[in-house]
Amino acid sequence: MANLKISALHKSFGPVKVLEGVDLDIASGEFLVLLGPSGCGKSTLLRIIAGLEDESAGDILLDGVSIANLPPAKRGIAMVFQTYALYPHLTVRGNMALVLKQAGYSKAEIAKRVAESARALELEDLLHRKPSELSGGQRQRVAIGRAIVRDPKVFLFDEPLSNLDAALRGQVRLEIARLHLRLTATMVYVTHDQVEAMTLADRIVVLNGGEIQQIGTPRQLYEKPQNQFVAGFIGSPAMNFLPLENIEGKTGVWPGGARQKLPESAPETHGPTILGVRPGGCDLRPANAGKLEKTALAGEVMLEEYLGDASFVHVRLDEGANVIVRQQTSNRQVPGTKVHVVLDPAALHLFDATSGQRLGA
Amino acid sequence: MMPETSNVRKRPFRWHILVFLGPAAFVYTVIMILPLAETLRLSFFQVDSVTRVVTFVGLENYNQLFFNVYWVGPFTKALWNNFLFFVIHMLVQNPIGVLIAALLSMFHLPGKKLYRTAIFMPTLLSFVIVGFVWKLMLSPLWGVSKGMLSSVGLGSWFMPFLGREESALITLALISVWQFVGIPMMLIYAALLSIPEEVIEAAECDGVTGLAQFFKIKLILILPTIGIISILTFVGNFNAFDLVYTTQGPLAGPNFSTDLLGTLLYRTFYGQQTQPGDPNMGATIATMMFFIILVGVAIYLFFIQRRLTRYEM
Repeated sequence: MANLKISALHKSFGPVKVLEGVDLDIASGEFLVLLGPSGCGKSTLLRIIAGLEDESAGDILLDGVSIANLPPAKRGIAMVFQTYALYPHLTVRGNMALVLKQAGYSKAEIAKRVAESARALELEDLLHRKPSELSGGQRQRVAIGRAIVRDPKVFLFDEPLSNLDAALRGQVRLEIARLHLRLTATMVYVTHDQVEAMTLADRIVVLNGGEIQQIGTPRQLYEKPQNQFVAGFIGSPAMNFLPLENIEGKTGVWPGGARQKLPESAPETHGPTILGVRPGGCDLRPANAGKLEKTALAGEVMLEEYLGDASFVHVRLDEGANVIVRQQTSNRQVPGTKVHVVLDPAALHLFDATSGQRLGA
Repeated sequence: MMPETSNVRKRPFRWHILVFLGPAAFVYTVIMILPLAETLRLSFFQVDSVTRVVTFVGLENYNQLFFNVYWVGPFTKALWNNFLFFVIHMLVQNPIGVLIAALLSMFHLPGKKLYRTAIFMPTLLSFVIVGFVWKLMLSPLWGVSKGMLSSVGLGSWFMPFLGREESALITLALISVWQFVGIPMMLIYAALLSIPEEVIEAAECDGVTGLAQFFKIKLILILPTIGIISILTFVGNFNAFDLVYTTQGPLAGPNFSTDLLGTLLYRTFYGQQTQPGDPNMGATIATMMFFIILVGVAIYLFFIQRRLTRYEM
């Protein structure tokens, strides 16, 4: 149990700036997920916390004490790697015991701790096996076991599920969630998978280009993305973005002159605006309803993706943009059909066209 | 689709297998198997030095080699020297190779590639050049080694290293180590690089750093490579000949103190000074060398390699 504070952290590799002034305050027992596309600096941030990479500037405080100059093993932090990184020549027991041996624990204490961790992770029957004799999921459990035997203050996970197949991923994800509930330890988890982030996190930090885009609970990020990047990154399929000429009297003006009703929170007036709407926030109407011309977007069905419980219809608007619309599967759409897309005003997000920042509440 | 009857039809003879295997099998037979068989055959015959009559003598040549005073002395001496030559390589060349490789892989050393190339370079040189260069350097008359030792205050250590019976073999072995240390270095370096970065980082997180990390993790993971290097060293050393021949001549001086099986074979086969050439005894020694190496490799393959696990990384 420990809180972790990161202040003004900078990191550059030569001329390349990877992290530009990251500030984070991670509460004791919190499950924090660092989420972002590849190359956003999330793994670098994790590695700096672990001590595997040196920061260029800034400080890391664990319970108020700076750990920035300590070697990895002295930081009270355990890391679980993407490739598991088990010692191939040691058994499961050896893998878990090595860190304790190195720290000088007594044999009895080592045996006790390994046994406890093995029981917690259901590894008891595998203790004598070598990593090459384990399945991917078992290896990942051993990697986690190796982290918990040392009873660290903070757990770091570096994309721990990305080497597992889809079915196993869900299962191990659940195990990590249960582990967090049981240990109530502070955990920092790096992923590019938003499903992992949404399901596991107490709070998510969305990173892009070495800068924090938004910090918030999964619900905050999904419902109130602070900028266009977060809006486009969270949610699958991604949010649709459509340009508005401007906003006049809380009403959006499409480039063609048509009007769009906006949410209550929209500003009175604004210049060029990007309107964002998730696939679930739009609906399709047959094109022959002539009165829709003024309030809806005309387009043509390109294709329909059938997912069983719903289907996603890709529509090419007459102005050229593409929109994905979530539909009931009963409402089948044939490619080539002319349609109108109507947007639910309550489901709209508005962003400034130049800065990408959220408009209104 | 083919009907069910295709099961009944006989599969045509697959000529292409023979065609593809043929050239390699032919070349291997001509340059490896035939000479080997011919050597073995030669060792069972003896030629009368006067009448030139060739007689089948069975194992008589081996009997001579092992029990005739004239042969057994030089043979056991060459065998012993060869063994020492091998031991020096194992104790000096391979540990130094591992050490250099470990240093190269551990640090962000400026000029790392330069060091790697420079250390590997002598391996590319001909034995003749290496032998000649070292002979010049170590020469008591005009060699630079005396001056170099004196310049660091070790002038009294200088002696004609290649000219004294006690030091000649060790000196030659060390010259050979200098020449070939690049090979274990390269192999170990490659093996060290193949250890996944994350395993090493995990070790860092676990507090296994520095020497402990090398001995507890890296060394164990590269053991299979060290095994391969050992067997390569063994085969190379028991076939050694060139370096002794170029620095000390076929008589492996001084007083045969640097005689290896290779030089003994050479003198026996072709003759030297007062000793007439004897292809049959030469073939006998060559066959013995072949068997020594065969037994060594077999021991390695059956007893050592099986215990070295190649870990999935």
